[in-house]
Amino acid sequence: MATGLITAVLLDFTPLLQRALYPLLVASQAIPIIAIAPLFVLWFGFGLLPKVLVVTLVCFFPVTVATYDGLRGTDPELIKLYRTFGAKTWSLFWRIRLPSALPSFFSGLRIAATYAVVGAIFSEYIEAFTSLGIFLQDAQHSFRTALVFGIVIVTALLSIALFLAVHLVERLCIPWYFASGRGRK
Amino acid sequence: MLQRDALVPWLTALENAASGLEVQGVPRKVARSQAKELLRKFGLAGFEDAYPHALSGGMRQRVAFARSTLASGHLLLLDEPFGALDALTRLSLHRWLLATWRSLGKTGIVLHS
Repeated sequence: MATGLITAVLLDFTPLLQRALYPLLVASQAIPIIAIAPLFVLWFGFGLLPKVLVVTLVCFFPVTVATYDGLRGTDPELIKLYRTFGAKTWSLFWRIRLPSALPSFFSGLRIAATYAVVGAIFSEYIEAFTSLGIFLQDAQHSFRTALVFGIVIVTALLSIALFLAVHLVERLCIPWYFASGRGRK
Repeated sequence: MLQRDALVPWLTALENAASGLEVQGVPRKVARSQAKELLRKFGLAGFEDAYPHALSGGMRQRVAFARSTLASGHLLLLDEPFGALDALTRLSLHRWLLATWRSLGKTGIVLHS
């Protein structure tokens, strides 16, 4: 999951490519994950890699879209002002555009955090030896509904924990956003 | 200088004031020390580490003014610099501006208010 998030961030640091890649990104989300996940196992074998790829595929879209919007939504007055001061494109990006996109980035990350758990469970559904996903499938197939609900609750708790973890990181990274009263209290 | 203060919310008053110089390639230390000095001159000593949201409207305008003063050459364009402020603050900043102006050694063009 962490790999997925990092990949998402890396993908996101290429604003120029993004315009060309945007349609491809949308297309990648239009492909049902149910159809592609078994193929990942075929292509990349058993083990961790196909699972990481499924989670990555699920996660990077909300992060990318949100960060992209954040970058584009930078206060145009700030950009104009710093251009007037003589800021180069690169320093404008680092100093102004990137920090101002951070709140959106974290919004995307929070959505991705909840998707990640679902993606992981699903990828384990396809192929796994010991995991929540395969455990869930076993329980379903043997009509042990109570167990199914137990796993569902564990999954939900995982999602919530991940969500809160992202929120915590967010508060540490962009305290100014919360302090200025625009973030959620 | 703009009508709105347009301060960068994730930078402190000092960092904001120095940011104009810093994007021009002035080393951080030099920019910060100049900004610190100017902020003191502008009556903002002690508020260097305050973030914009913690400052009043008049203080924010003065920080923005310090940023523009540092980053500009000899000519400073002020587009309704105090237009966004209430009448009383504006009056006091007017007086302050007139008093400080001579010490800055710059030509200023103020577009009303």
